[in-house]
Amino acid sequence: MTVAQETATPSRIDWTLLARQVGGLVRLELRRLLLTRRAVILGVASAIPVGIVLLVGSIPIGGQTVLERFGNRIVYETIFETVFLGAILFFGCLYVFFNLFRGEILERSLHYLLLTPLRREVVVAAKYAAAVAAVAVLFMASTVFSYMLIYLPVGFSGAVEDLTAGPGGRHLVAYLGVTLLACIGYGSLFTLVGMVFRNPIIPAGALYVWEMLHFLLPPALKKLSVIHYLKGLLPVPLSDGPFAVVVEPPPPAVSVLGLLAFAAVVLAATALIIRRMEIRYTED
Amino acid sequence: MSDGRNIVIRDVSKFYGDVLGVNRVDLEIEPGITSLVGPNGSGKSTLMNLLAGLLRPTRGEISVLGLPVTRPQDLFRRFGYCTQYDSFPRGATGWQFVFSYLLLHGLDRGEAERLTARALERVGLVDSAHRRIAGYSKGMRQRIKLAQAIAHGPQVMVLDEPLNGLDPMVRAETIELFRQLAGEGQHVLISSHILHEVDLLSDRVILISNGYIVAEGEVPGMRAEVEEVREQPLQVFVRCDRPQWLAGRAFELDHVTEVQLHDDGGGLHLRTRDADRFLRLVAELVAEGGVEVEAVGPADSDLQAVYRYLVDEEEEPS
Repeated sequence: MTVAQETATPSRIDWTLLARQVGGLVRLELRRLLLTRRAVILGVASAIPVGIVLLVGSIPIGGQTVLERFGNRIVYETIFETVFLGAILFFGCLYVFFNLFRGEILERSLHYLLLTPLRREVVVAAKYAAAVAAVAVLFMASTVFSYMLIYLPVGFSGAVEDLTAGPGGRHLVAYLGVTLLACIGYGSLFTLVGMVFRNPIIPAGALYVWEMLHFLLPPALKKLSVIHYLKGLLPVPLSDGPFAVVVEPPPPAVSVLGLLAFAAVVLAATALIIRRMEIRYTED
Repeated sequence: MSDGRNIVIRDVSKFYGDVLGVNRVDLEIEPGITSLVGPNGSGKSTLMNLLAGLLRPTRGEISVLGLPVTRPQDLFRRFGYCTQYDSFPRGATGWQFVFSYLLLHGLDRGEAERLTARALERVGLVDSAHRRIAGYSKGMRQRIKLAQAIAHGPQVMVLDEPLNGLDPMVRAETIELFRQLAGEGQHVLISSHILHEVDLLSDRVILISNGYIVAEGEVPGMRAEVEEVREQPLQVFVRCDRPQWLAGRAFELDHVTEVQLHDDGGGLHLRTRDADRFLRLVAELVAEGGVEVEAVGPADSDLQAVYRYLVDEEEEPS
């Protein structure tokens, strides 16, 4: 019998207390994310798709706007897939989630969290949940605003009709779902990367290349990319070009559950690392 | 065997690769003020980080009040740690710093506010509470860390060099705070390399050097308990009217090894292997009227002396 076992009594979980503790940590993290310079950078990034859609929807070229000439759904899908999903969500999540723990390690303030009466796994889950909430709110707002701008050529009544009676509402929900799942999937991945690597450039660069060139990968390897599942959920299919290895997208349920399971596994790995982690800032 | 009231460290070693942090540490620390004293790099912070679970022992086990240090959800309700790190969450004010971490204990806002106010008052930072910590002086940063460590009313407080950077007035107030906390039956474990301070405030002292515990015990009794020290000559001072004459008489004794006259000509220091016999001699000489003695006593039975004997001269702290 160990010293501790001689006298320690197993503690029962007080769920109400735990909920208050997690609430406190989520609020602390949200304040750190939304009331600092980080939020300004994310806000600017999330405004980029809105600006692009505004440009292509309001500036006429040869008498027609781009939205009118190529069709608003195709144009929006292209912007969403290439700019938003292909860059802003990826790098926005990298910026926030890589620094979720690494930022506090570099700031030498992580020990304050680890000296609170919270299991380290709970700390990981609560910080991650707060970051997903913060990033998702910003990026989903960006999705809604940018999507609404595709109705510039048809006006308010046309927008209401498409959103309620046409496919517009379903498409918007799909884009919001993809945005949320991207935050969840990339968020978990970059949280883990932040725990393992001190510098994000090499791992993030490798991941970015992998994600962006996924269409060239053989079918088996495609399944190892986050974007493969996200693209399967997009409402308007676009061609990946003549060199793409074409495979049937996974069913939506597989994409959603697969990404959630992926995030859970990656977070579990992160929790395992932080559980064994020692605070020795001099090494960082 | 621990009854769950003490801090128990059993055969604990910590290696950083090939580098020794601490080795084969066996301690049982009771409530009261205990000081961990040693030069820089001796293993004080390593031992404290092990106690807080921020480091994992390579070997051995640790429990605090019967709780394993691997169970933060239980341990940190009763444990407060003021680390050596002079760093804080970016942009936080003193109030936010203490308050926000109190919320992580599951307290409601009202209770957290009350405890924050009390902690800030105890460390004398009420007036600066709503200023950003980044603008605090070194002493204020030290005190806000202390406030955060004690705010939740822990039974065990581990404080790594808590007096660093404090001005004399605040230092005295902080020492008084430690005494109050210890008087309430709490464990206060303090690390320091400023010996004369811990000598005055501690109930017990643990001396650490090169990762090894070289002595532990109550300060007044430590010298007698440490055999290695007992074999060393004791330094005695005498303030008198005829120091040169007394020096000559002292040199007639075989146990006196060294005599040094004071610069002002009003006394002397000497080293003796038998202080009792020397003091008897002084008493006889006074009785005979040979010398008038103003004061006499051991000059190095304090912690500094014990430390000097136990730790290499080159490592000697300030």
